This record gives sequence, C-alpha cells and structure tokens, in this order.
Amino acid sequence: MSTALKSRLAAAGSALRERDVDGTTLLLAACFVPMLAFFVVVWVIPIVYALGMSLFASPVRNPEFVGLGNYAELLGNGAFWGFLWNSVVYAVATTGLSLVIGLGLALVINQRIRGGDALRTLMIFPYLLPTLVVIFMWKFILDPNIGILNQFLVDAGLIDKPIAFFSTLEFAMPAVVVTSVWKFASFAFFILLARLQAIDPDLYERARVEGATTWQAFRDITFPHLRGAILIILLVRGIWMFNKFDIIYLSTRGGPLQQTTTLPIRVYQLAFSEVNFGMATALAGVMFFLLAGVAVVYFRAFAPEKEVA
Amino acid sequence: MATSIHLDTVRKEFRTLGNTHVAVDDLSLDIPEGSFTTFVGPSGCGKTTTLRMLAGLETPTSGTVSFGDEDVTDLPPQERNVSMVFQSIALYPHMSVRENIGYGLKIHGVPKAERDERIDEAAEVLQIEAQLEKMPAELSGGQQQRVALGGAFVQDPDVLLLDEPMSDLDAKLKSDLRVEIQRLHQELDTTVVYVTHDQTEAMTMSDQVVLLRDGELAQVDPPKQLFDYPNSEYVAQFIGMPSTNVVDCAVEHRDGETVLVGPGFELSLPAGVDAPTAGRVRLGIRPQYLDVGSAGACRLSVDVEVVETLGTESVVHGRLEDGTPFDVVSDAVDDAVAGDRLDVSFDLADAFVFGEDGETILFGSERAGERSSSPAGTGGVTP
Repeated sequence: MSTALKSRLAAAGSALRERDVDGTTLLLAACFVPMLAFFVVVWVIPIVYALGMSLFASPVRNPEFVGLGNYAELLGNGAFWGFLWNSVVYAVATTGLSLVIGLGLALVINQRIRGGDALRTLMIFPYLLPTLVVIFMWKFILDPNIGILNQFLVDAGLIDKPIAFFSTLEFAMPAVVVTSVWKFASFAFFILLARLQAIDPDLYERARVEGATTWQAFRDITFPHLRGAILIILLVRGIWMFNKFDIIYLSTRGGPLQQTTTLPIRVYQLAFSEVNFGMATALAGVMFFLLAGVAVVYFRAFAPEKEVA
Repeated sequence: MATSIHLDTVRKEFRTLGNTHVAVDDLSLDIPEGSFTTFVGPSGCGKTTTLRMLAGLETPTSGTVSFGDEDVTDLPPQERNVSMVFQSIALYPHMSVRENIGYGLKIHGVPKAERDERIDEAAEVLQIEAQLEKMPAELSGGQQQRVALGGAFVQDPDVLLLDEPMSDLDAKLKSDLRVEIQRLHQELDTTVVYVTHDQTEAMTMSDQVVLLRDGELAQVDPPKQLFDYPNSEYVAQFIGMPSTNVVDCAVEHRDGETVLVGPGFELSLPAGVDAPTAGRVRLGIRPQYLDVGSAGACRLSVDVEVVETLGTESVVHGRLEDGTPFDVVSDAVDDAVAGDRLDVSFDLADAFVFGEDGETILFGSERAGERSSSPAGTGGVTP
C-alpha cells in the first residue's frame, strides 16, 4: 500500500470519526431539546410568570409593583393560617388513612387467601373511576334524605335525625377525607402489595425456625422491606393531597364556612372569584416554597430512596 | 444437646384442586442421636418435605415425629430447638452479617455481650471475621453460605437441618464446604440432617444415608453398605458414578444349575440361590468392577461411543451388541476411541442379580467370597 493511499485513508477515517461525534451530539440534542423546550414552555415560564405576578397588586388590569407586599399581607392575615391548617389536616388525614388501609389490605391479600385475586382486581376500581363519579357516589351515600348511611345510622339508633355530612361544620372535613381515602387507598395498596410479594418467603420460614413470632417477623422482616416504599408514599401522596383541588372543590366548594377551604381552594377563590391574581399567585408561591422545603428536609431525614436489596 | 429423631409411619399429602399428591408415604425411620444423616433421592422424592416436617414448617397428615421421647408432631418451629439452612440461603438482606448470624439469639433474648461473643466465635470457625460488618449483598456465594451456616449453628440447636445448602455453589467451593460441614459436625453436639440430590455429598459426609423414592424409603444404611449391598435395582443405579450397568438376562435351568444368559455371555449361579429357574432377571455390574481383557469368567464386548478421561482413569460410555447402554471405568482404556470394540470381563463377585420386581436376589460378593481387588474410583466412598 502506498504512503499516499495510507494518508488519504487516515484522513477519511478521522473525518468519519469527527462526523460520528457530531452525529451523536446531534442525536442527543434532538432527543433532549424538545423535552427541554416543552419543560420550559409548560413549567418554567408559567412558574416564573406567576412568581412575577405575585409581586404586583392587580397585575392584570392595573399593575402596580408592590414587591413582597402581597406576601406580607397574606402571612399577616390570620385566615391564611386557618387555610394552611385545613390543608395540613386534609393531607395528613387522607395520606395516613390511605397508608394504613392500603397496608392492611395488602397484608391480608398477600396471605394468598381465597378470593384474593378477585379482591386485588376490585381494588383498582376506585382509582380508575373519575373523581366526579366518586363524588356523586359519596354524595348519594351520605345524603341526608336518601343516603344509605343516614338510613343505617338512624335505624341503628346511633343518631336521631339524618346528618347532612358535606354541609355540617364538624362533618364536612371528615366526609371529604373519607371520599378521598376511598379513591386513593389503592395507590398505597398496590405499591405495598408489590413490595410484599417481592419478599423471599424463605425469610419468614427462617425467622419462624429461629423462634420469631408473627409480630417479630413483621417488625424485623416485613417492615424493613416496606420502609422505603412507605416513605415514598407518604411524601408523594402527601404532596398530591396537599395540592388536591378537584375532590374538595367538587364536593364542598371549600364550605361550609370555609371549613374545608385548603390552600389550593383559596388560590382558586382569590384568582377567579375575587379576581385578585396578585394575592392568588403569592399564595401559590408560598405553597410552592413550603412543599419544596418539606421535601428537602424529608429526603435529608429519611433517605427514602435507600431500598433494601 | 443432640437428640435422636424418630419418624413413625409419617405421611404427608398435598391437596390441590381435588388432586391428592402423596409427598411422603408412611415413612418410618430412626435417626441416632448426634449422627449425620443424609436424605438423598431425585427431585420430588419427598426428601425436602420430610426435612420440613422435622423443622415444623409442615405438619404430617398422619404419623408422629419425635425428638428423643418428646412427640413434636404438632409443635410449631418456634417450639423446637432446631436450626435450618435453606436452599435459597435466605439471609436477611437488610441486616449485616453480624445481625444475620445473631438474629435467632436476639429473638431468644440472649444479651448483646454474649451474643457478640458467640457470633465472633462462629465467624472465626467459618473464617468470615472480616465480613461481619458487611451486608449480605456484598458477599460471594460461598461467604453467604458460611453466614447461613453460622446463623444456624450459633444457636446450639438439638437438630441442625440443611436443605440442599450447596446446590448453587461451584464444584471447588462444594468440596471445601463439605469438609467444613463435617468438621462442624464433629465439634458440635448436634444431630445433623442433610438433604441433597447429590450422591457424592451423601456418600462423603454421612453416617447413614436415607435413599427415598416417590415418598417411600428405598434403603437406609451407612454409605459403604449402601454401595456394596443395594437392596434393589433402584438403589444400585442411584448410588455410584457412573450408574450401575443393568443387563437383561434369560434364566435357564440346565443339569441342576441355574444359568443366566445375557448378550454374549453366560453366568452360572451357585447352588442355593433363591432365583427363579426360568423367565428373566436383570444383572447389575458396577462400571468400576469390569476388567478390560478376559481375566474374568464372563466376557462382553462394548462398542465405544464416548470416552471421558479423568486423569488416573477413563470412563467409557458404550453399548452392548443388543443396544443396552454400558459403561466401563478403567485405567487401561486411555487409547480407546469412539467406534472401537472393547472386550471386558467380570466375575460373579462383581455382580448383583435383581428379580423382576427390582429387588436384589443375589449379591455376587457374598456368594463368591470377598472381591479380590478393592474397587478403584468409586467417587471417594469411604465409610
């Protein structure tokens, strides 16, 4: 082979290699840029825009820069703390109950009881039903005139007269919580059941031979395997429920007497009933930073991403 | 304290969708105190089910299980002083090696100081001191196996049960651990029951071997006895590597003598053998007991198909003229190749005769006096 040919081949080779690098970069960019653009358009710009709006009084019709004035007004107003309290109660109660019920059912069905497969299939239905249907169903069940629960309670002699659960001060929040838990308990159920079924059954047999009782086996084998999943459920479900809007608004509109008005409901009221976009975006901003702070502390404290092997 | 174990007509049935499967069929057995007993047999013979009944993880359908004089048939595992090593090894993945070994002690309320002392001692015996603070996922297969063993014997059990603990290990590790398990047994005051499908493990480690077939007891004897005096064709074929050759023979009665006529050979049975005087029997000859050449009384020709060289000896896989598979183990066949015809011979002393029901009706060595030369290459079978 002549030297000239060799050098030409080498040149062609290096050109090809350079083009390869360019090709790879191009492919990466082609995959990455659309997602980034989508993310920027759908998430970053609205968030920045909303945070910007929160610095103005009456930002739509007659914008006037007030700095952190909206925030000061919000946090100085006692009502804010009431709405925050409602949000925390709703998020903690629904997440906690969903977890307890989901875990209980997962433990039962994991015992391979008769009919367990059918039960497991049934469990997906509440999650699949549209929220509106779930609310209609519970409104019927809890209705003071035709509801089966009131009928039952009156017949059993537990109450004298029917209760309008969704519009009574002390029962509105529990009624919304029950409706939400009914729909969302299966979320925890399916995640925990999947974890349970991944545990090597020999571990339980070994523990029994080593003398462990059922409770000790749960504490020392089952719980450590579920810990990561439980922490993730608490975080994710907790954030979702804290931000939940549809199920509350559609069942009570935040009433009675703002008893079920959580922060998302209040943001909606501020924005679309009171047309105060400055205050509404400021409140949304407060929620955003609050949740971000909680999530950071949570990950530092529990490291839920650390699963057992 | 080691304990003896008695199984009395133990039966275990599993019912699924209207079918009843008998896993263990009226098994009666005595396991002496402090012995090393191995349950061996093919898949589905009931050996693991029997072990699980000893552990208390299964309850017999009928019959009784006793440890010493105590009836433990219905006792849950927690109330028996047994330890078990599972086939899957079953280490707790979220606990360190130290916690894994010490879990049983912790459950039994042994104080931490004493627990640590016993764990350290066990780790030293098993040479896993350096791994104590690691997690199971960081260990090699052999180390995991040692941890499982440590967790089992650290509790000082009356009965130590091992369910195919080495089935996932490579050959070299297996032979190392075999020695270690035997050493442990010598040091511990424990009755060991070991389940395996590997006859080498059964033969090398045990005081007595329990061979099962379809949930029934085929034979229980010390390894050497099992090898030399198999009470049936099944036992003769299961024990020994490669399997005992079995050849169909016609029985003929001539001049007051009983003669077995096989493919290419005839063998006169000595007087007084309780053999049928007509019909057919099967003749068993261990591949190791065949002589290459014509030194023996009965001669056969083997068409060589495959030759495996093992170093000091070779295994020849071939067929007789009638197509019966026939193996020969010898140190004199190194140059044999596929397609060769190999002349081999044997004497009555090398043979078993099995009746039509598969039971042994004649041990050649008993009739013809002890075998002249000791068998070579029997897979390390020593009592």
